Amino acid sequence: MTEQPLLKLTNVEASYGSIRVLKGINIEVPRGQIVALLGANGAGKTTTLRAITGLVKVTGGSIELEGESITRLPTEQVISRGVATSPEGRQVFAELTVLENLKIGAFALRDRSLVKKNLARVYAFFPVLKERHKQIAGTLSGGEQQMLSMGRALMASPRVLLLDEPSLGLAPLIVRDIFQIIKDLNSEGATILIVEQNALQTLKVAHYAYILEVGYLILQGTGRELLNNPSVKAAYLGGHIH
Amino acid sequence: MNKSTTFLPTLMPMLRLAWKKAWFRYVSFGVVLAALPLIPGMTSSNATILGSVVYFSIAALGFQVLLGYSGQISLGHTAFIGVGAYVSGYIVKELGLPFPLAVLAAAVLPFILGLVLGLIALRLEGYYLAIATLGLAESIRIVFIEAHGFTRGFSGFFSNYPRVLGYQFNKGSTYVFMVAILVALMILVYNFINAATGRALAAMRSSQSAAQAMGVSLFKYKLMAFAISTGFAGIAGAMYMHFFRYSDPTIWNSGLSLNLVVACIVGGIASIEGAVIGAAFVVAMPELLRIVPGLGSINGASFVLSGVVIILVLLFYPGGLVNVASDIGKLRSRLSKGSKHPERSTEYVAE
Amino acid sequence: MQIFFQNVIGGIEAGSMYALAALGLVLIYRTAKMSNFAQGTIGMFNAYIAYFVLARTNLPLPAVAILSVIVAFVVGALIELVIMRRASSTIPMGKPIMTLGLIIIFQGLAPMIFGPVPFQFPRFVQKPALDIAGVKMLPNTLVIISVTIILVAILFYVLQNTRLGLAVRVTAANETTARLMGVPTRAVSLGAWSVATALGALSAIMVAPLTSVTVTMMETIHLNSFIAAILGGFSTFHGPVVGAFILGVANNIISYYISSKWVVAILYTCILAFTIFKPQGLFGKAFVKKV
Repeated sequence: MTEQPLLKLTNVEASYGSIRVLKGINIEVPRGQIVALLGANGAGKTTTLRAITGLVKVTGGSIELEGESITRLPTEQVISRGVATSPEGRQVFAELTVLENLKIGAFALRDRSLVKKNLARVYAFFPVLKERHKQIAGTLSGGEQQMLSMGRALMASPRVLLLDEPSLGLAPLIVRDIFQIIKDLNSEGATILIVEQNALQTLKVAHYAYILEVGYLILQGTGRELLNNPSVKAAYLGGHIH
Repeated sequence: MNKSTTFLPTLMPMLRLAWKKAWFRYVSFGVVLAALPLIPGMTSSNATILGSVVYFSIAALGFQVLLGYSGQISLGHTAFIGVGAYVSGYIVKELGLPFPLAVLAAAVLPFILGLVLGLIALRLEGYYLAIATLGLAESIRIVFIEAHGFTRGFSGFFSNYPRVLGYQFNKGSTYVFMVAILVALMILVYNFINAATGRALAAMRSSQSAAQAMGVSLFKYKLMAFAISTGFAGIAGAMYMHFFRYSDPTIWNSGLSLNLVVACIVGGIASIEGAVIGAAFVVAMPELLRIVPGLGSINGASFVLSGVVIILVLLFYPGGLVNVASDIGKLRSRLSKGSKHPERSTEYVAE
Repeated sequence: MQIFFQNVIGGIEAGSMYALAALGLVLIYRTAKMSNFAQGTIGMFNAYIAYFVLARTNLPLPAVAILSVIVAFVVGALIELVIMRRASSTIPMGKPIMTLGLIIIFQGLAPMIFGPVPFQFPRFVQKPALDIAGVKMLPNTLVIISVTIILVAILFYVLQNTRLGLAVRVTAANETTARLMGVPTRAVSLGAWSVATALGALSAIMVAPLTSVTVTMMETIHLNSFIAAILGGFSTFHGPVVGAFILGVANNIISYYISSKWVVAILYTCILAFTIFKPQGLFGKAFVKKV
């Protein structure tokens, strides 16, 4: 049986002004899996996520969440249907406390008891956030800010979690922790679409991956397949293989 | 047959070639503008309106450098025009110094004022320049009212038509002189914005951070643009003082500052011709409305209308009136050729 | 000493009006990322409307004041919906320039509709001045100051402690990320325009009895509220309010002890000089401008 994918992008096109950034992207994110989107800077990875969340105008194709079209919906409606993002550069609200940051993550939820439940779950997952819930987010370390950013996204009880470059600018040890967290989240049932430059680490955790090059998908396969693909090795894993 | 039939074929290509040069277009425009009062039936009051257009064009041209090319707003530019007016008047009438020196001083003093204010206000983010100029204008307005020995306060300061090297100008020749100054400044601005400075300013207007990344020293160029705009305002003031031969503090009100913004936006942002078209729009509209039955009797109708027009232009025609001719041309060629050759759009793309 | 306190109280009264207006400015500046130069002019227009409602009906003054604040609230929403929202693709600086267009429109319309004669606007409380240890204070002054303090307190409570306030603060901090959290940032901008315009109108109604209703009645208040925001810093909501009270008191003290003629020039020069040393204002943090 082929189950309907949770998130499905069909021939998605998007442009900034007159520059076409996405030239027909097809991606499927099955429930309960980690799907990765890899590629160099400027390939259109972040734009793909922005197209899903409605921050970039989709000029062609369709985006479906469990069979329902979310193409061209206003951002807040996409979010309230269960798409949560941990954006590139973490983007925690630096002047707000950790707790306030988490609360804003649950903005789309009306059910207060659910918010409470989610908060308990996030605290269980990231004990450091509980310890520092009164601290101003801007004073957290990079790794802690990444945890906050992911925890904030989890506060929305998302159906799918979009992670944009979670390892960006973090020390290698912290990067390993972050990828472990991603794996743990997934084993608890989270569906994740991750955009990364760190191809090696990502392919190790991803069930399936796509490789994007200037607006086109050029390669796809399971994490293991791509790890062993010679052209992927050459282009994306080169310096990283130990 | 007369000579012109043999003369024209050789002249036309030359003219076409020359027309490509900005200075030639501006000088031709100046010649036409200077000749306008000679049209039969031109009344003295219409000639005065023309004088208003020209003096205001000079101020608008400077403002265009600021608003159009560096993307900064000043809300107190009228004060710099006023300073130019009083300084030039005082130097000629009270100190008995020659007129050219007065014009120079009327340009330099506001230029320096602009440099000093800009040094402080332009370092700050946001709309600080707008507020700082508004504050300075308010302070200068008080000087205009209170510094009686310098401005004569509300009694008003009277002056004469210019006198240069023994030649006494009259109304007509003062007008021609103003046109010449305007044309010279248009050429100056053209060269300024087409030199590296202008390109830096244009980059800055579209994205400050991007320009910074390109290594453009924003501060230096912003400061330059602001000082140029205040200097031009001063020259405009000197022209005003010696064409209208009168100044009092009520003339230099905040509405005049707003009209400079209207001129640049309605005429066409970041366009030299646009500044002049916009100045003509601002000055001429009240006069044109006077002819419209019903509206003409309402005081201030044109002011309200210019507020409506500026919003409509920004919403629906952000390129301004300067594009009307070329857009009509495009529309015509599109209609005649059909939709086979889509024309390049001149619309602004959202940032 | 009594004269000194007299001046301080007068300064706090003026500062109250600056504070309300400055809070309106900073709300729009932070959430809609633009300067609203027309706030004072729209307030002036509202004061005219309030005057005529008062003159033509039997409604009590507080009711008229509340009514005109509601009208301003709606006007603010309309400006956002009809003009600003459609202006997303205009030139850089287009939106603040549009508010200059609004100034021109309302400034031109006011004398056309209401005539050139200034109108005397009644005080909220007509009772004679109280004498507190030699310092005279009109009950009306007390009303103005307390209404301001109560309103500012309510607004800050909402900003700091409610879901709505959190939405406003995150929109101000980073609009894109706020949208990614599901915050309807357009609705936040709409609300900011409404509340800001209402605050501007309230400020105008408070100043009306002191200056009478004229086209230029709000010019000083408007400029001073901007300068108060610069003094306090645009990056916080409380900075401009504190700046407003400092400005109000400083204005009165300089005016009395140094020169009433040159007070404006002295004050503005001092604040301009202050910004040389602290460009972000008293409570400001460095601005990080986005691309």
